[in-house]
Parts: sequence; C-alpha cells; structure tokens
Amino acid sequence: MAIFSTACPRNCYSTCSFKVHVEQGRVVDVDPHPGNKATPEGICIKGLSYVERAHSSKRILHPLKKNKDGKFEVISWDNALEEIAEKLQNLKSKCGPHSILYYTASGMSGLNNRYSSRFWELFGGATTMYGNLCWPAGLEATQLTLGDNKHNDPWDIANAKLIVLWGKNPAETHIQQMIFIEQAQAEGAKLVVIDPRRTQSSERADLLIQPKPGTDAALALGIANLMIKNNWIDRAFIDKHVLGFKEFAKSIEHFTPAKTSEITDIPLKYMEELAFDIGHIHPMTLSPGYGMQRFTNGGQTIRSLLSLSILSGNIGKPGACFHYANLQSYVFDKVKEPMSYYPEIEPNPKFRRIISMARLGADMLAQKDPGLKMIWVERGNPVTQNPDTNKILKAFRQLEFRVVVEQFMTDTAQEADIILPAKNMFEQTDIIGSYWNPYVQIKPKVLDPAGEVKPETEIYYLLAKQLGFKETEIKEYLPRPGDENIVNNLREQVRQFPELDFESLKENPAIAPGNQSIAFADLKFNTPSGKIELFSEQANKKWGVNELPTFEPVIKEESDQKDKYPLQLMSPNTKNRIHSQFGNLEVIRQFAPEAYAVISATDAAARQILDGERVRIFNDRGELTTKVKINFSIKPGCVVYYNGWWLQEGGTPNLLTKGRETDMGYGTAFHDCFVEIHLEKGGDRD
Amino acid sequence: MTKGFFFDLNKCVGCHACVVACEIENGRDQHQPWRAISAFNAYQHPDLPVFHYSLACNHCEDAPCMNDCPAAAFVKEDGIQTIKHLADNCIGCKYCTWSCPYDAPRFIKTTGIIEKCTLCQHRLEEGKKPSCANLCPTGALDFAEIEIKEQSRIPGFTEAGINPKIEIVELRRKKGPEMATQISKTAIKNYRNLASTTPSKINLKKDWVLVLFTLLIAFLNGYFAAGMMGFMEISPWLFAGLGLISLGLSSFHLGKKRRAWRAVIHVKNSWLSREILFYMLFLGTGMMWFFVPDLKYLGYSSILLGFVAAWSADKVYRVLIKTTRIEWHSSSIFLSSLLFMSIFTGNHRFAAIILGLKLLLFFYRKIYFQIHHISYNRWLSFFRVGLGFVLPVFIWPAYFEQFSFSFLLLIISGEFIDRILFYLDADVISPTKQIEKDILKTLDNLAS
Repeated sequence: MAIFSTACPRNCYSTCSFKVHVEQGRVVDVDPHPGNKATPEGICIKGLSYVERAHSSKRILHPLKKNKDGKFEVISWDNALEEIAEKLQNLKSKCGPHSILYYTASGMSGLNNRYSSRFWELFGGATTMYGNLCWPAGLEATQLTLGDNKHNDPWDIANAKLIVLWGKNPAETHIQQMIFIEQAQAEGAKLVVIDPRRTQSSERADLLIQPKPGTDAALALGIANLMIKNNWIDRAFIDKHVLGFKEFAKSIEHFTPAKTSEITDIPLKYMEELAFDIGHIHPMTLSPGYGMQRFTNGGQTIRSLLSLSILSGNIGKPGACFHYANLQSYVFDKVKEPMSYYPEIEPNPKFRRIISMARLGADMLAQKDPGLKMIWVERGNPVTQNPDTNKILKAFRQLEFRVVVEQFMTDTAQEADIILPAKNMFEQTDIIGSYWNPYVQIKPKVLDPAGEVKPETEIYYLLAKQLGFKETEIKEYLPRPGDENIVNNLREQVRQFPELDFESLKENPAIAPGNQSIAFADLKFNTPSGKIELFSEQANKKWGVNELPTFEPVIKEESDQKDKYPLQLMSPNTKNRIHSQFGNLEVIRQFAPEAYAVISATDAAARQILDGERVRIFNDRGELTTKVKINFSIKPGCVVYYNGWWLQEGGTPNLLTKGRETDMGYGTAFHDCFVEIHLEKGGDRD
Repeated sequence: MTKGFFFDLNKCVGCHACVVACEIENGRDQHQPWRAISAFNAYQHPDLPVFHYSLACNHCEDAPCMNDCPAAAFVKEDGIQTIKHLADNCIGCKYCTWSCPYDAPRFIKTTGIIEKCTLCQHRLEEGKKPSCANLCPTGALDFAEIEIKEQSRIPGFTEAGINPKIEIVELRRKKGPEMATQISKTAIKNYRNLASTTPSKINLKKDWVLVLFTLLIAFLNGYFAAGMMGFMEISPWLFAGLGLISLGLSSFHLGKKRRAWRAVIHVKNSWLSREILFYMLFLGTGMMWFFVPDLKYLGYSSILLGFVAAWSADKVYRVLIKTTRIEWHSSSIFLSSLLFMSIFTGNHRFAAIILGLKLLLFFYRKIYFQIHHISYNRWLSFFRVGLGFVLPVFIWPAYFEQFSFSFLLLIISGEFIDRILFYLDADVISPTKQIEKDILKTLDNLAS
C-alpha cells in the first residue's frame, strides 16, 4: 500500500490536505494531514466519498455517442475525436470559430485548467464566457474598498473576541473554520450569526439575527449609523486610513433604527446590541458568506458590510479582519480573480466574443453572425447550475452539436451528442491554491486513469493532432501526453519561487510565498488613494453604482397580480454537496436520499401544508415539485430549496431563478427570486 | 481512567464524517452503518438548542447486550475491554437491539445476524485510533483516556447505569441562540406532534409472533396445571401440538433458525435464555408426565417450571421504557397463566381476584395515559374491556357451573387484545427516543 499527500481541488473554502491510501490501483482509505494547519483534523464526507467516487460504477469510462433513439453508446476515442474534429473544421470554415461556445466552470481547480483555453486559441478562437456563478460581486467590492482580496490566516479567528458570521454557515459549508471559531468561543468570544435561517452554525451563537433575504446592506448601514451616532467607532483609525468617512456618515443618516428595522424586519434591540458589540468588543472578525452577494445588490451589500469592519478599525490586526476571500495562495495566476472573470480590455481577437455566465441561456439564444452552433462543456454542469434552467435547455437544444467532458451522467451530460470521459483528481498531477488557507499544494497523480479516461490536456492534444496541427505548433500551446510532462511543467513553474520546493510540496503543503499572515498588517491598501475607500470613484466609474455603499432593494418581478409570488427562494448549500457534485454517490445518498424544501411553520399553516407532504414551488419561469419539511425557526416568508439537486433527482432551484448579473464584478444574481408554494395537486391529500 | 470515546457537543456539527469513516474502514453495507448521528431538536423549536450526538457502541462496563444475549454472542475482550460480538454465536433474535440504549447492535437482514462497532480493534492493535475518531474534521469525536464518572444527566443521552465508555463534554450554551421568534403560537403547537414521531423499535408488524407465543405460554400453563391437578381432562395431543407450535413461532423470527438451540445457553444472565429453557423444560416434563401420570412430583415440577418460564418471560420485557409508575402490566404472562389456571380449575374466587387485578392494572394504565396526554388505541382498549371483562362477568355464574366454550373464548380474546396493546405501547430507549423524551419533558417544564 502506498500513501500519498494530496489536496482536495473542489470549489470549497477549505481545500483540505489529506493523505490517500492506494492499494492495487484503488483508493482504499483517507487520513487527515496535520501538515495543513487550517485543516488538521480531517476532511468532510465529500472528501471521504472519494473512496467511492474514484471507482464509482456510475463513472463514465469511455467516449459515448448519443444514437438516434437518444441512448448513449460506447465509441472509440478515434471515432469520437474524428467526429468532433470534422464538426469543428466544418463550423470553423462555414460559420467561423465563434459559432462554437467554450464553456467551463469550477468543477476542479488546478493550474492545468489553463491549457483548455490555449487549445481554443490554437484552434483559431471560440466564443467564451465572462463572469462567474459565484463570488465576484463580493471580490470586486472588497477590491474597491481594501485594494486586495486577502484576509488573516484561517487559524487567526481563534484570536477574535467578537465573531460575526454574516450569511455564512461554516458548520455545513466550511466545517474546518468551526475549529477556530470554537477555539475563540472557548476563550470567551461572542458569536453573532446573521442569517434568515437558523443553521447549525447559529446553534453555537449567542445571538441570531434574521433579516429578510437581500436586506443585509440596509442592516449594515443602519448599524453603521448607530455606531457613528453613538461614537462607537475607531476615530484614529478612520482619520488615518479611511477615505470618505464624512460622506459616508452623511449618506447613511436616513438609515434610522426605525427605518432599518422596517426594511430588514429586525427588532431594534438586536441592532443596538450588534452595533454596541462591534463598537466595543475587539478584535472582531467579520466573516461573510457568498450568498448575499448573489443578489443584484450584492456588491453594494458587501461594501456596506465592510464599512462595519472599517468603522471599528478591525482591519490588519490579529483577530480582526474582513474574512471574505484570501487569494494569497494563487501565486501562479498572472491575473487574479475577480479580474480574470472580466472581459479583457483589449481582447485577444480570437476570443473577441464573450457571453455572460449569469445570462447563459438568454445570451446563447441571442447570438448572431454567427449564431451558436456548438458547445463544448468542461468542469461544469450549466443545465442545473446556471440560472433559468428552462432557457438553458432551450438554448442547448437549438445547437447542432454538443460535447460534454464529464465524469458522471449529469443533466448537462445527458444533453450531449458526445460525452468524453473526464479525469478525476487522482489521475493527473496538478498544483492548487485555496481561497481560504494560505497554502500551495500538490495533488499528485496516484491512479492511472480509469477505463479509457484521458485528462483534458491529452484530449486536446489528440484533438489538435486530429485537426491536422503540426507537432511544432501544438507544442506552443499544449503539453505532450503523459503525466511526466505535466510534472515537468509544474516543476518549472514552482522554480520561479525560491521559497518553494517541488519535492517537499509532494509531502507537505507550503505557505504561499509572500503570504501576509495578518492581512493588511502594513496598513497599505492597493486602492487609487492608498487608503481604505468607503468612497470609491472607481465603483461609480466601473460599475455605475454610487461611490458610497448603498442599499438597493432586491428586484421583484413585475406581475399583474400583486404578491402573486410572496415567498423568497433561498438556495443555500449543504454539507452533502459542492454545488451539483457528490449527490449521486451512494455514500452521500444515504444522508440525502431525496430533495426537499423547507418552509416556516407559519407559512405552512397559512397554506395548510403538513410536514412531509409534496408541494409545488413555482413562478413565471418554471416549477418543481418536492417534499416539504416544516421548520420552526426559519424566517417566515422564505422557502429553502437546496442548491445542487439535479433534474434527474427532482429538480434544480434554477428552474425558478432568473439570469441576471450582479451590480458589480459580473457575478450571478440567483437570489432575486420570488416564488409561491402550493400543495401538489393529486398528492396524498385533497 | 480507561480508554474510550471523548465527545464534545460544542464541536460536533453533525457532518457525518465519522459515519463515513466507519463505513470506509469496516467496509459494510451502507444502509446499516454502525455509527449514527442523531439531532436534538431537528425541527428547531426556538426555545431549545439544536445539537448532535454521534454514537456507536460505547463498549459499556456493564454491557446490557452482553448480559441479555441468550446465545452468549457478546464477550468482553481483555486490554481495552471492548465488547466483542461473536458472529458465529449470534442467533439473530434481535433482543440486544432492545436492550442497548445506543442502537449499537444492528440487525443485518442479508446475513440474519447482528453487527456492531468493534472499536476498530485492528487499528487499536496498530496503535491507531478508531477510524471515526481519526477522521472527525472538527475534533469533536476523539478516542482518549477518559474518566467514567457519574455525569449529570445530559439532555438526549442516557447512561442507563451501564457505565458506557464515553465522556461527553456538555454544551457551554445550554439554550439555542437568542433570536426573535416569529412563528405563530398556533404553529408552534404542532411542534409537539412532529417532535414525537420516533417510531418504536418494537412493532406488531414485525413482532406479531410474540403475541401468540406469550399467550400460548400462559394458556398451556393453566391448561396443564388444571389437568395435572385433576380438575379437568387434558389432551396430550393438544398440549404437545400447541407446545410445538409455540416453539416454532418463537424461532420463526430468528435470523439464524438453525442456531435456535443456542438460545438457552446463557441462563446465567439472560432472562430470555431462562424463559426459553424453562419453557422447554416445562413442555418436556409435562409430556413425560402424560406417560407416567402417577409421578405427581414430576407433574408439580412441571407446573412450577411453567410458571417460572412465565415469570421469566415477563422479565424479558424489563428492558422496555417504563411508561407508568407501576411496572406490572395487565397482560403479564405470569398473571395470565394464573388466570387460565383459575378458570380451568373452576376456582371462581381466585379467577375473580386475578381478573380484578388485571382490570385495576388496565385502568390504572389508561388513566395514567389520559392524565399525561399519552396516546393509546381507544378502540382496542374498548374491546379489551368489553370482551375480556364485561361480557365474561355476565356469563360468570353459568361458566362456573358448567364449562362453556364461549366464556373461554371471551377470556382468550380479551387477553389477546391486551397482549396486542402491550406490544403497541412497548418501546425501548434509543438515542432518538431519549432525545424525544427529553425534548417533550423540557417543553412541559417550559410550559409550567
């Protein structure tokens, strides 16, 4: 048996290091890796499920082609590549390369991912995507305000005396953070959670504040106003390091406690308590989640939240930080997030056309000259994960040809004409960073690819050959097949940092070169003014929003009938999945066998819905039916239907969401979404 | 000090990693994991905290599974003193699933026997922690030197006086977070119903043979005693036939029927073993008496054995949750044996006393339920009283002058229904049941 150090490449804060036991070509066990100070105790159930996932019988192991009856048949790599190459060539000559959409998402992180777009460059171009489904509104907000997306080392939370989890539920989505929160609490820290739901994280809290979804900016500004009025602020810090305090203070005067309370539906006493605490309990770490900034007001909301850390001087000190995103370990990226999501100012002519991640369905349908004819999907599941599933399905079905690179038969894979089997994390060496912990990590190849699986780099290499490119041309863009070539490449990249050593990286994660353990400890801010910018000209110039943080109400669809859709849909993540990944595995299904919605006992009573009954959740964009669970602590007016369920499993929340961009950063505003819920007709009860 | 589980309620977030770790390590059927998470207050009553227990076998110092197993399938290992289950000894009677308050023994349908946590003995031997403790991502579950001490009652956990090898760190904050409760009062009323839906581990659909089996013990006890003492003619064929049927029924629900004989080998500790052994001895000696009816001592011994078997049978159910203060149930097999004996011997005074006692016990229970808002089956209770008490009283004098089949039938149906009611009410402690009980109790305290 061999034991390897590796790291989990999922789109998740924790990016756990772990040890994997391999015996006779199979992953048989997992161990914690204490070398990672952020994840010393072990990995979550998704990580543990790799033992099943790596060898799952549900995995796609051969190229598949959809036949006339709509069923998939195994075909050889030669045939698959030949057919794809022919189609590519055809479309390129007839309609131009921009008739092909190259779509990729966050399925697996790693430096090798960059080769995919290199292929399309070699090919002569394609339509590509801009924006991101997740977090750029908040990244942009932080960037505008602090000049950088970084925060203190994960374990520094243990030093905080006040922790505010705002719209974040680490107990499910970021388990390892709970270790340090617990350490802080054991030392007497106060924990406040702000969330319309009562979550497992709020169970540890002293105070749970439940605002109406999407009103977080108003709450933050109301609290900021209270702090300023009562002089519960760090005057010296503000005078020295903050731009625009006066303007800000003036602009939020109208967020009186009464008005804020009315907007957010939060009792006055809790607003006062929180304002007082932020003003008096130091140091404070404010850790916002990624849900709030998926509203149309997302960026401005995060700017508003930031103001609380700024006013109280909780930046750049141990135990004090705005714990949003820590991109310090992405040392190999030339362009970091969120800028990497933005359309380039001077685009490469080969990628002159890019379409919006947030509006995928609508934008795909809208393209002309040339219209889209083909899509290539990799590391993503847009059918269930981008907003407005029905529109995306329509757009997919209007195409001539669809190629999906996948490990499992997802809803997107089912739309494909040809599915190419994708590698898993154990089948190719790569280097990954984390957006939470400060480590650079190697994720080595520990298994030969299963069945006929080929890593994407190899697929592209073979496809380039099939397209008739010469070896010398290909060499410019893509690595040759074989993991040794990948390793050499990565070794080369590591060499640029004298602090890093490839061989020891194979054993242990390494703190990223230049990592600032206490972010902004030097109180230098990479903003135009060099100060923390509460007032940001850039915000207005780049995004057309106010220079100051503001509260913008969420968008409610105009409907002929008032309050036709009175309930706000929340689609949070659970511990059981990373977006649409993992839910298909048996090990996960034992805990989450079926989808369900959660509503408050009050809303259930008003609709005469009983616990466990089947309901229909609907609005003008779509509907889904599901089982319902009644809950006695969720804020009335909210419906929860968890993110990540497949259509095959009963329906994704994106059947109900609308494709909109966030106010900044080209994020996706899933959460401006209203629905109604009824007992399913023909259900158990009439 | 001893080695055991160390579990911190403040750190557990209910993530299930321990359960999966166990499955990976012990490579078993995923639908019967050895470890389980149970949530306290899953429906989130605003006045109660929500937290989780991760429990498997606690390898108790005084393990009830080991004491109660009729087939001696559990042994205490040396060293760390784990409770080990010996698969080859297990008859699949599932009695340990009743007596363990932690749901540790799991019955596996496909193999017909019990499985449970081994504390990863193989890992301990290599100096490692059990897999669950090794892979808990928050450090909530550990395996360490612990102190088994009288812990104050922690909501949702029972020590049951069996010294489980687990040390639990209580919640620092015993209430949930402070929050503005916005749920209407009418809605909150439904909480009680939803919180008390833990299904009983004992249910009629699964365990109906036990109704017949226990009833037959009582019937045969009375029948034989009356015949042996010369109050009536009894048929050896009926005796043997019913005896065989009852034995057949009792082995019917075993996972390993061929190992049924093992059920008697743990007489030293197990009331179940005693029940089976004494019952078989009763049947055996009883049959012998038919051949040598002059051997009075044999006959009396047989009667005694039958009543000891009935007594033992009642004792088997001492693992049930005590719902009322008086533990005696009106359907007690011992009492029923006495009732049948008095009826068959025609002793109407004695019969009246036993029937009266049963009636008192029956009403005591129902009144107790009524006062404490415990639901029970009203229709069956009505029939039990009508058929088993009221109607027999009407034809009482006639019967004691001349045997009447209809009278006997009424008594039997009354007893039958009572036994059904017994199993309908019967329940045992499990982690989820303990949580349910403690939640309801806390709500009662909050209300008053």
